[in-house]
Amino acid sequence: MKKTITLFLMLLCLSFASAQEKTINEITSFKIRNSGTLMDKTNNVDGYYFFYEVDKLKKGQKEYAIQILDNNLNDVATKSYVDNKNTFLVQSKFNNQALIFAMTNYKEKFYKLITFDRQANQVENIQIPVSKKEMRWLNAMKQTGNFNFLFPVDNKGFLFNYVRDNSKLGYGLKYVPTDGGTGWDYNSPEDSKLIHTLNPIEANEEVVVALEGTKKSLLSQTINYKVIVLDIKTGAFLFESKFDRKDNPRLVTNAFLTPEKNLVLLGEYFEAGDNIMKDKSLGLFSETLDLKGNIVSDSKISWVDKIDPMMPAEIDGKKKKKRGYIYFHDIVRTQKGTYYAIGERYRKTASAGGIAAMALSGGRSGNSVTQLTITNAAIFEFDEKFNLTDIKVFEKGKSRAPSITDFGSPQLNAHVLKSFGAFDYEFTQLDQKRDRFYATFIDYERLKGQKNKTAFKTVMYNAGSFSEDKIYLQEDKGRTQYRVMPGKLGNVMLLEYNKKDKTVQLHLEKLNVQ
Amino acid sequence: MAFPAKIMSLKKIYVTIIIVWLSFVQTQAQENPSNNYIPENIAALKVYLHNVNKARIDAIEGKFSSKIKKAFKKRDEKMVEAIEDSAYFFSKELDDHLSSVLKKIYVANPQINAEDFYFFVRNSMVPNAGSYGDGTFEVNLGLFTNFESEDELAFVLCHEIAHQLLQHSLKRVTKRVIDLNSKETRKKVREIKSRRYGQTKAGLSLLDELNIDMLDHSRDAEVEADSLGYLLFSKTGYKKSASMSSLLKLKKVDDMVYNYEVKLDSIFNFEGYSFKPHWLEEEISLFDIKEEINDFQLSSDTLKTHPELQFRVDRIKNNFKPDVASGALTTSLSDIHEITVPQSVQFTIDLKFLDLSIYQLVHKFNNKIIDADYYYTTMAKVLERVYIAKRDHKLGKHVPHKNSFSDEKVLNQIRLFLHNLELTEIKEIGLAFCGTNQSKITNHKKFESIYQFFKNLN
Repeated sequence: MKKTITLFLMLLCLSFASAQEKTINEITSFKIRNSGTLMDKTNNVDGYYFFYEVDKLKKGQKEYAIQILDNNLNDVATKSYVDNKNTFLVQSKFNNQALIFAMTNYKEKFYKLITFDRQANQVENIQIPVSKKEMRWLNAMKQTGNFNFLFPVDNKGFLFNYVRDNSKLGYGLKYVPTDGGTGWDYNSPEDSKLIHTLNPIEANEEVVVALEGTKKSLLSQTINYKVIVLDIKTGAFLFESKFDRKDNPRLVTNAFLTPEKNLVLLGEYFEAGDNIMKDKSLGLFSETLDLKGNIVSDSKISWVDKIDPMMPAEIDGKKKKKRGYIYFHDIVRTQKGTYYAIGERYRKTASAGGIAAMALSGGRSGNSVTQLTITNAAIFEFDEKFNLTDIKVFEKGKSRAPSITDFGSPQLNAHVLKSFGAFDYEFTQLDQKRDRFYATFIDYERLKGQKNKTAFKTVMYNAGSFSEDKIYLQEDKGRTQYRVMPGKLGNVMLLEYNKKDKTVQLHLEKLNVQ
Repeated sequence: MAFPAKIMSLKKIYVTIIIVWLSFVQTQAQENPSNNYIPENIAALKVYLHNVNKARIDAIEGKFSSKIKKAFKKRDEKMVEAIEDSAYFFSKELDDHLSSVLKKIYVANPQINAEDFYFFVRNSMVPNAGSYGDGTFEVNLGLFTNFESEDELAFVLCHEIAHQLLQHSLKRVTKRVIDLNSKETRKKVREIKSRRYGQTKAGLSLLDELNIDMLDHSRDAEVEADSLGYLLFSKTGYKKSASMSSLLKLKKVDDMVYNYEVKLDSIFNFEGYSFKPHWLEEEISLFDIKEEINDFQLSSDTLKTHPELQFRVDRIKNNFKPDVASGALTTSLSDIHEITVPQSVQFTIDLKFLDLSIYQLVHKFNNKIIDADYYYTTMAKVLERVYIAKRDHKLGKHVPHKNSFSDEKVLNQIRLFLHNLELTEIKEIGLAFCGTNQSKITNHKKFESIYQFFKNLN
């Protein structure tokens, strides 16, 4: 309720729908181009943005409006922005010092980084020339959902990660300081015979940690990863940790810096010669390195020896199922140094629909006869030395995704299906201050004698124990429907659609920790 | 007074609706509403609203009449929607009190044909009233609760009746339609549409121009309604000085509204469960700015629809010279307050505006407007509702989050507090509040059931 002291108001409850009013509305309306969320590396939402087209201007220019909402959904600023007519806002981030917007221009072929200071003044424009091919690749990588295009470095600056068309495809990493420091660039070698990709996974006041992938060609199924560590102040290469297919294949999913300034890498390890995208991992690892690149510790936990004996069996009807596979979405580190790996269990199963389609088409159907059946959420708990201490399974309804190919491994299918959003996992939010995390999933509830229900399920870790919260996505026999999106720390944004009134209401709600 | 011709033209309209109106009034008198938000006679109310609106539309003649009619179309349906959304409060007792004040105005001013007038009471804390121009009026609960004297209420009612008699609503819409369809505006719109560049900015500039003109007109109408309102009021026998004191009181309320200090860290600090500083912890904001920045803001957005209250007071003083030396106002609204004070808290609970519930309870209790029994029992009820809303993920739907630019500083604090609280914490607060204050109340029945609710949770 707003404070509206408009005394003795003449009330008008009118709908001016005259043609003239409509015309005026038409010539004064802003056309929305896109919108997005300002999210930091712990998936905490700092705000929201809307990008509008306002006016055509001379010389191929356009006036745009960037509307910025804070994390409480309040309007904070609507800024006018004039740029070329082919400008598109791709992403925005906040680092506690400034707000950055990454723009692309397909026709004029450049990226542009625009920053606003804390007083909402536009302070810097950085233009980076780009080829069409580079831009196409960047878009393709962004669509995988795991690509960090803009990466905020809290209270220091931003990293801008982009694709470069060298002799083969390479990468460029540009650092834009916001604390008065110096900017730098770190690029893959221009004459390299390999395709190089980069994904920053951690950055702080000391270092940038990024995962570099190399492969011979686009179709090559072998990809080698290494972790490279750069000095945040200068961009100087400090060291790398190689995880080649031949000797030491590993899939690094997370990286942290400890208070002792050691770098901790977490992920899955494989047998020498295995392909990390296709083969089944041997287990999980945690490798600690000092900032000179020396290995301080390397702990491995094998599926067979350690995990399987602790893994609760899955019961499907009366049948006891094998472990199947686990797809790890995220690994988080608590303040006391323990780790939690968040994953979902899945199995390769026969698809009744796919088989029927195949039979009906005489084997000419393009449908897969196999599918991935995604079941419960599993959270693995490790102590500070990365010894597996517990596995917690959180029940959720099964969901199914048709295999991309019937002949590939379940792991390969899972990796591809993950990029299409086939898993039920949504996101994990980390509350470093209160030492909590919130892992979120979609749950397809099937209760006997009741209609199936879809819910947004959150598994929360707080003070050493877990609890669950659930938000049903339909109410009033489907008359009200919800979509749940990330919100500020410990909250979600509910988009509530009233089918009857055709109204949409947005509200922030706190997740309930028990 | 210069409005008999207008009343005559209105009479023509009234004849067509009088039969329906009478049946509606009778139904209203006979029926006992099933609840205070949706009256049992809603069907008759719908017919009444439809007919008064139809009568108004049918009476519109002249240039652009079809466009003006279109503007009023479905207005009655929107009113019904508002009723169904519990926007209004229906109470026979309050209607009776209000009718007695209105009766004095009508008797003193026999030229007012009030047969089709209907006063709705809106569930709002803001001291305000309004006239829809078809005989329907709104009086906010906040107007009743902020005034102490019947004289002051009567002046505001006279002001609203003046709007109706002067047909301000119709004139405003007519002006808007004429302005929009004038040759000059059409020419400007054509010119803007033919522009290759900068269409939107030029369109916004035109809209701003039209809005500023409307606001000027709106402010003039307020002054006009003050003048006619004063003439109607001066005949009633109420103290004329109330015309100025009511406006001054509203000015004071305007400055004070939502600014009464609510000491959350003392109200919710208990011996066994102390107030936690993180309940009022704020997050870092995107920008370090004092007010919202909008590069596209129209100058008309910053202008007020009403003239400054002090200007209106001075104008009445200079033009009519009401006798301020005739002593203090003697009439009281205490009977009305018995209904409106609890209702102004109750509707915030019923409509889940729980931030406003807490604000009002603290304000009214500290100012001795409500007693201890009511305060402690109702506050416990509010805590129970906060718990339920949080449990169901619905608190944010009804209680807004803190807005750094809002001048509602105290409400902001309450909102921050309510949204920062976790479900387990509100459970503890509820239990501690009931346990601490149990001995302070005499009527235990309601209180005990809420206490039991929190005991069961803990």
